This record gives sequence, C-alpha cells and structure tokens, in this order.
Amino acid sequence: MVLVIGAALTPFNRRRDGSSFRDWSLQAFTNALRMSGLGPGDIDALIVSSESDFFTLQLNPASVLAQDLGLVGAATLRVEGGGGSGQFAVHAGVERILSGRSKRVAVVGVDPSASALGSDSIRELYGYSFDFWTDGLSGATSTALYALSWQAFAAVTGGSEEDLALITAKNRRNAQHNPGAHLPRDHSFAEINASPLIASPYRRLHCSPLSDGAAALILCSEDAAPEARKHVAPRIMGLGAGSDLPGLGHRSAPGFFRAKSNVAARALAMAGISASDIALAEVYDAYAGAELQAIAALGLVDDPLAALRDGVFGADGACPINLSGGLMGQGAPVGATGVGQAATCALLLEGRYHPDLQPKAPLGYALAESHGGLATTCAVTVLGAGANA
Amino acid sequence: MKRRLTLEYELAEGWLSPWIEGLRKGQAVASHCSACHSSRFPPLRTCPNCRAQSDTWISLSGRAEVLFRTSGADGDFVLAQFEGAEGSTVLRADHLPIGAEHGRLRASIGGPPSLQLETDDTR
Repeated sequence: MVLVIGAALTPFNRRRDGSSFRDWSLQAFTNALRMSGLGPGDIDALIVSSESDFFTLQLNPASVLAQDLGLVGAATLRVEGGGGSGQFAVHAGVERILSGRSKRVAVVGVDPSASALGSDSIRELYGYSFDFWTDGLSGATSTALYALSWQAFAAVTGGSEEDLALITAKNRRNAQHNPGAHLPRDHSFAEINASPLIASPYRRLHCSPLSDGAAALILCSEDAAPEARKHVAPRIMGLGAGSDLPGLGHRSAPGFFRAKSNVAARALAMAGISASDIALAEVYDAYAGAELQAIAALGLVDDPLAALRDGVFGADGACPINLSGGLMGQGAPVGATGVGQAATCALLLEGRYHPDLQPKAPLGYALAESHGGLATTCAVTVLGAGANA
Repeated sequence: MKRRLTLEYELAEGWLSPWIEGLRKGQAVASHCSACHSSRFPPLRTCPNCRAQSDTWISLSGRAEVLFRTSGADGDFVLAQFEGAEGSTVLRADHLPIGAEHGRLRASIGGPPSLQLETDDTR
C-alpha cells in the first residue's frame, strides 16, 4: 500500500514576478514535505514530471531540482508522456515503492508553459504532440484535432455547443473558489458563445489556458510513514496506463477515448472497486468536450450527456468533476497538471481542500486521470481515503 | 533573461519514404498488409487488425469523402475517408470549398510534404 502523506500545489497562472520553474518546484515540494512531517533527508527518490525541454531549456531537470530541493544523493528520474506526464510520474513513484526500491518518494511536476515562450512558438510545439509524420503533416493544431474528435463524438451521442458551454461555465465557476486558479470566472453562455472561434465548434473560452506552476506529492510505503500520517493519509488504490493509435483517423471510433476506457478498467480492478464507487474525479479537460469524452470513457455514469445536463458533475452534484476548476479553470502547467490532479484528490479525501469546494460528507474514493496526445497515452489513478477517515 | 534558440533539422524519412514521396506528387500511397489485405492512409507499420508488419505499398485513387470539418483561427481541416483505405485522414482544407463533400489529395508543390485536400475536378 502506498500512502500520500504530503500534497501541495503552487498557484497556476501566468507569472510576471520574475520567479522561475525552480522556485515553484521548491515551493510545492516544501509545502508537501511539511505536510508529510518528513525532512529532505528522508526522501530516497525524486521523480520529476516536465513535458518539454523547450519550456525549461533544461535537459535532465531532475538533476538541478534535486540540488535545489536538498535531495542530492537521492535517485532521480524525469518522466514525460505529453499532457499525461504528471500522472505517469505519480505512477512511477508508486511503482518504485511497490517494487521495494524506495520507501519515501517525492514527485514534483512543473512547467513554465505560459511565460517562457510566445503563443506562435507554443502552438508549433504542441503540434508535435501528435504523430509528426501523419496528422502533423496536415499542420493541424491541437485545438483542430480535438475539435474533429469532439464532432465525431457528438455525431454519435448528440452532444451540442450548449453542452460545451455547460462544462466551460461549471469548471470556471468552480475555479472561483480555488485561490490558486488561473481563470476563476462566472461566464454567461452568451459570453462563451461569442468568444473567438478557434476550430469549430471550439471557441477561445472552450479551451484550457497554458499556465506556469508546480505541484508535489510525498509518497510513502505504509511501514515507513510517520505515525501522525499513517492512519489518516489517503492511499493510492489503483493504477492504469495504456495507449491507443496516435493518428486520429486510424481509430475505428475517432470520437471515443478507447485507451482511456481500458486504462480506467485496469485501475478500478486494481483498486477492487467499480466506477460507481468514485465520489469525485479530476479529469483531463484540455477542451470542454474532452471532459465529456473522458467521462464517457471512464464509465462514471451510464449517460454522460444526461448527467451533465442534470447537474450531476457540478460542485453540489452526485459526482463532482473538476472541483479544482480542472485545466480549464485552475490552469495547465503541463508537467504539473497530473501531479496536481492527484494532489487535489488526496487533499479532498483527507478533508483539507479549499473550504468552499470541500464536500461536507466523508469521501471514499477519487479518481485522477490525464493523457498525452489525443487520449493516446492514458493514465488513471484511483485514490482512497485513509484508514481512519 | 532573453534567449533565442534556432534549430535546423535534417529529418530522415526512413520507411515512410514512399508515403512522403507520394505526398510531394499528390499521389495517395498507402501501406498494405498482405496478411489481412487492409490498406492504411496514412500508413501504419504494424497492421492494427492482425499485428502483422505492413509489407507492401499500394496507390489509391486519391479521392476522399469528407466526414468532419473544423474551421476557425487555427485554419481549416477535415477528417476524410480515402477510397480504398481503412480509417480516415486529417488534412488541411484551405483549397476545398466549404460544404464540399468530396475532395482529392493535393500535391505539395514548392513546399515541404503536407497533407491537403483540394477540390476534386474529376468527379
């Protein structure tokens, strides 16, 4: 059993204060370590999630972060899996403990996705997130590929622009109660539907922003946990990872995230629970429609569109999705997003999240998930409340 | 601190050379799996149906049916189904009129190889 004894996020936003990714990493790590009750000397491995050296201009970022965090001597590893990098880093940390090679692992996710490069450079770089030799030769942007996938999904399910607006408004509204969120907003549908068209049907406000920031977890084997954390710390119950064909058109159903479905089933089976046991989830909402496509793939409800329209995924609904605001509201420093999702779930399960977003009733299980490409490399993590929760 | 990074790549085409050469000429060259007789455009090295290695190349007509289309500030793109190929293909559609239901592969004249669909005058 692996416990989450420490969890922290910096604010996700566009930094204008001259601070760097190394500063944010230290801030997130220090706060997570303080929560854990451990010191730097107790950590025997550092796993760093960072999507691209083009953001940090630092190959082997784990080497410099180990020094900054006081972890020289610890094993270091950098994990990259596109937008799923953070979730894969969490998995790497958990697996290191389950293998017996480490007792206490720090996972740090970070990227200066907003402030390091201009928008044209960012757009070009993200184009390389997909198969350069196939979809990439069309020049299609990330938004265009997601738009085509959403259209394929909507053609089968009946999803509409109203549904995109519902998700957009929900996530940005949740973000209003998250003091670390990049885009806390109270959008009207008219405002959403009047924002500039990027790739139909996606408009500017249907897209997640690029952000700066970091998140950190302190993972620990049960036998090595500090006594004060052993019985209350949330635990990692299930992991699932898998992949799909990278080319959108190569998939038999381009609107459906097949790999994510398979991965969720693996994670839930490892946890020994079913999708209906999940009390809340942090879902990869790079675009509004991608959230609904993810919910469908995860099998959280029988009819995702009906559930969305009935408010099931709202902050007061039966299964809140992206209480943090998600990528759309909280923001997306790419390497940090997956780590931040897991940290958010851990804090919620322990009852330590932002007060206006913390559900009143005790929580049993939460799910965090993200992906690289267009749900090409997928990772799902299932967390459970601590033994005495 | 400002820092400019300028990189110039020379990318080897490897096993995809026939596909890339076809794009330059406007010819739709698909990978073909002899084991299960499926063809893929864009090509796939391992057949997703039977996991055999695609072992030959075939030429398609180059005509495609538009399945979905997206337009906006990021450009104009389609997901289209090529005659004779399984699956579909993402292509740029700057030279395909809005509302067109069919098109054909456009040659990458004077530029790097690219995937573009244009008006099909042969229909």
